[in-house]
Amino acid sequence: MNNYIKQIWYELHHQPMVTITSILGTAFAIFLIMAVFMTSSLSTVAVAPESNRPRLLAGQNIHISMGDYGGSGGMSNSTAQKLYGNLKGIEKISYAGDWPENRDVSVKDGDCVSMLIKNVDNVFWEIFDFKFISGKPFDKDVIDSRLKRVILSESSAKKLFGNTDVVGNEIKINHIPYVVQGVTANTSPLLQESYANIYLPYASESEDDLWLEGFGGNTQVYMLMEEGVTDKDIRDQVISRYATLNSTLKKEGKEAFYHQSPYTAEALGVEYGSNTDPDIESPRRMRYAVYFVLLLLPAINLSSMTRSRLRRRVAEIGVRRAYGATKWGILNRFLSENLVLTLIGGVIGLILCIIFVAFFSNLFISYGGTFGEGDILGANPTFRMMLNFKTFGIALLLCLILNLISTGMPAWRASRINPAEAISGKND
Amino acid sequence: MNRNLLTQIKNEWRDNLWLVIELMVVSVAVWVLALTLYIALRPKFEEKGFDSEDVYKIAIKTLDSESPEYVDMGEETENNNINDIRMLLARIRKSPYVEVAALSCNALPYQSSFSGNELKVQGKGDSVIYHGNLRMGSPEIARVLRLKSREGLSVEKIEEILRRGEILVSNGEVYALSGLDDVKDLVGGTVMFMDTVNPKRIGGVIESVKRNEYEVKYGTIFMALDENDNNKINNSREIGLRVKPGMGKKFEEEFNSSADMRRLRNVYLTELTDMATAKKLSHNYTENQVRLWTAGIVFLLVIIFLGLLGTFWFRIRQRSGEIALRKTCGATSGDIFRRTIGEGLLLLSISIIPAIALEWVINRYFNLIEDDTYYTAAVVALIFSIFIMVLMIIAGIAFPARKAMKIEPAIALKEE
Repeated sequence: MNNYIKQIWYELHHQPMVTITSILGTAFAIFLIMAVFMTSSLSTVAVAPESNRPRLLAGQNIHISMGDYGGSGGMSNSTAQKLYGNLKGIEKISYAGDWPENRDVSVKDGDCVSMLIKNVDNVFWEIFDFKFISGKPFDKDVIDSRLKRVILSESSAKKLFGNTDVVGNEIKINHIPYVVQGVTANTSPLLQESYANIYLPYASESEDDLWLEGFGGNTQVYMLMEEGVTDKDIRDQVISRYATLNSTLKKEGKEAFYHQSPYTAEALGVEYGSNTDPDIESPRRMRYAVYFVLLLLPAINLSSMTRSRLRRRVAEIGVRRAYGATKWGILNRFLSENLVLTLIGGVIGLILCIIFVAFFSNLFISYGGTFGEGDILGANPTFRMMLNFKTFGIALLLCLILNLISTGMPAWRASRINPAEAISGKND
Repeated sequence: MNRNLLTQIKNEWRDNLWLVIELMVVSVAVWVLALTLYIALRPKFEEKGFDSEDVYKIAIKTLDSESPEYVDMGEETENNNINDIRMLLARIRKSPYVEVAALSCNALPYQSSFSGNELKVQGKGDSVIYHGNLRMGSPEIARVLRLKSREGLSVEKIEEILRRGEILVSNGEVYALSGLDDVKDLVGGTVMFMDTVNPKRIGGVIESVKRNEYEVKYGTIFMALDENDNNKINNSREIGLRVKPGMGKKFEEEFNSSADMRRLRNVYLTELTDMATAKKLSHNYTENQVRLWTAGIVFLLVIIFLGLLGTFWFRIRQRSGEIALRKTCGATSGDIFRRTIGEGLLLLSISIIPAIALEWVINRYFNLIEDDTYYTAAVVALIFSIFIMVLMIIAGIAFPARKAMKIEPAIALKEE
């Protein structure tokens, strides 16, 4: 073993140009692929307060034709209950406002500050695992009695009051007074299903807010699937609910169009409209194409370097073979030797990638999509969103694949060298 | 010499095949990225149709009846609220820092809403239809945005056209003009638009007012909002204003410190935003995409650079005997340098043919070029991709080639 390490060290040391180029090449490849992987997996990574993302579904929107007119947009509370209420395999269902919006917030007679408001019910706090710094989440009484209560995020509390010990204080939202009931720890704006500056109790729409003959409103639902249930199981039930709804509607010349709701975290990360299906396949295909190019090109480069390096060791291979080393032994030796280089490059690449994604990635990727505003535009992923076993596992797997592609072929050819020819220098 | 080079490339076909594949993949990727960049950036260099420097927008809101501050004026509440909007607008106009202010309904740029409308133009031949994004504002909006006439009219004249209740249309690549050669020919035509009794005259042609600078020009329909008409004033309007040059900060201070300027009974003004901020938000997505694609091109070139550097480094080392022999037979250092670079360029030439074929297939499959006008763009992108690939090849091989130049024939041959 000791000899083994000595030889690897000698090889790395002996050809510094090749060593540095190989390590940099590997680091560069891992950096690029991991940057694509990390930024694209942000919409699905399970991290508080969205730790339940693998089991989370969101039911949104209604698209309906009323015969001579129609429309699409948020659904009403009654539509939400009809389509998503009491589905089999759903552990919890939360009713919430369909779209967070900016409203004017002030304390006493202070200046108004525009803040992002989300309307949520009591179950929302059971599906999303927020950490409360003080106070408590809404309970059923607050929702049922439509009490004027709010929950602030830590940063909003500091912005409005200068501290977080503010439970019981009054704030005004669009000049209507509310009492602070709790303060949650800050979360990332990139966790878009749960993020807001201020949470208000959800209430079903008033008559004025209903449209599309009562089908449209401003409600969406969050659902937590039971363990072992798949999103397809739920979607199948929703499809049959649509069929039931349409059997009544069609008699009146109307029709509701189904657009794949409820959506998984991955689908929610893709831009779609209330009258279109989210397309998760195209971005996936594009990602795979990018992974392929980013693996293939560095692998070709590294492979030509490995080939050249092995060419210098033909005589050594001959001697090893003459002394009884098997072809598999030679192949294995070179693969593991090169793995050391690949792993060093991989670690450097991964560290650089994490630094890049955490501090600079929002210069290249609009996390809020085309219409993202304010907080989301300024946000970068947090370390908590990137550092997990999946990230490290994928990076390691990529190193192994890269090593296999770049070293496999040259090492296999080297292992087939005829010992006599190798020692005589014919293969040089 | 070239024939020799070809033979040499053929002899080392295994190494060269991978290099050609690599060059081909990178050529295609650079072409795709360059074309996408070109398509995204081209509108940026067109006329945007407005001047947003020193321009601000303010949101108008009314109190909800739930608010304890709500002033209930019975049946008169709604009318009074409308009058209060007029009063607040008048207060803004009185500010010593404000040059001109207007009510706006989708008139201001750097927001995503698009109010698609069509005008059926009468008096200009059969079925002339004009499509555009409807933007409405008080006539003063012409001066707020400094709308640009296509007919050489001053901004005051454009304001006059709006004040007369006439409509402005614009140029733009995406409009239908059946039977007319030039959008200017629409001037003088009439339309029945948002009014079933009184026809409106098309009074002039302006430069298309784009939603943001990366958007392709689209038809714009500009129409006046009559401030005296109660039906045209509500809290979904905005105020657009132009401050006197350099007076932005002063106006912000005045607005934020003067409660009277911001509030009158149930009506309040909020979210004072300068257009530079709105522009930044509106451009963020495209600018990030542009940066991402540019970074993609740079990364690909670095990969190619490293690949060529590595491969040729060894190639030169391996061929030191051959190079020495060439030198002994009279080749100068320049010849050796040119031959090494030539080898790289020849490999690139070989890779270009399958690359172009692949580009054609990719375009068929992904529909990159939607419009015929982009064929020129495709050729420009191709020339660009070949040009920077050539530069990269020279950069990547120059270092090993210089090493080759410096080979001392006697020493190299002795080592052989």
